Amino acid sequence: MHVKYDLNKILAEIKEDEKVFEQKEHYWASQKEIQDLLKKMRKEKAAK
Amino acid sequence: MSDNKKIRVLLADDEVHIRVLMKRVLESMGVEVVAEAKNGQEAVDLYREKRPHMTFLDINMPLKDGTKALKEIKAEFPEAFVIMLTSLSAMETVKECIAAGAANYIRKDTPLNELKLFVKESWDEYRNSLKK
Repeated sequence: MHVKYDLNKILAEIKEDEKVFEQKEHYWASQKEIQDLLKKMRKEKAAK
Repeated sequence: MSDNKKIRVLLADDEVHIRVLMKRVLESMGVEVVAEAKNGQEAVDLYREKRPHMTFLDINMPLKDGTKALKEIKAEFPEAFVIMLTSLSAMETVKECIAAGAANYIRKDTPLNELKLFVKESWDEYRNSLKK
């Protein structure tokens, strides 16, 4: 069986995935998200 | 913040209009701004000299950024009460600052009444943690 790959399509998909990944890692947090994160990290610290 | 003795504050921001605004806001809460820094290095030096009760650090500052200044201050003075006040809120930076010991991380676009509330809550929590 012969499978034909479209390299350009694969590369475009990888690029799109990278973009989503970047946005997830570096997205700008809202003040509410920051306060929630603070509470969570303080709880974790207190539990140690 | 109703202590008889005024809370002494160090304010670090490279933008003068932010320092002027924050000084007014903080003084309306009954605290005293005893020093102002326009970069991260000045903030660390002034912290050593003035030993303020409360410090506000911007992130994006010349010479030394606020994250580095926070880490240096906390390394030397682990009990320092530092709030990051910035327009940058990349989740990675927020996590880095909280992990480094920032008492809070406040975006500059936060409405002033909320900003005051966050400062007060963080200060009360800090004071309570010292009593334990």
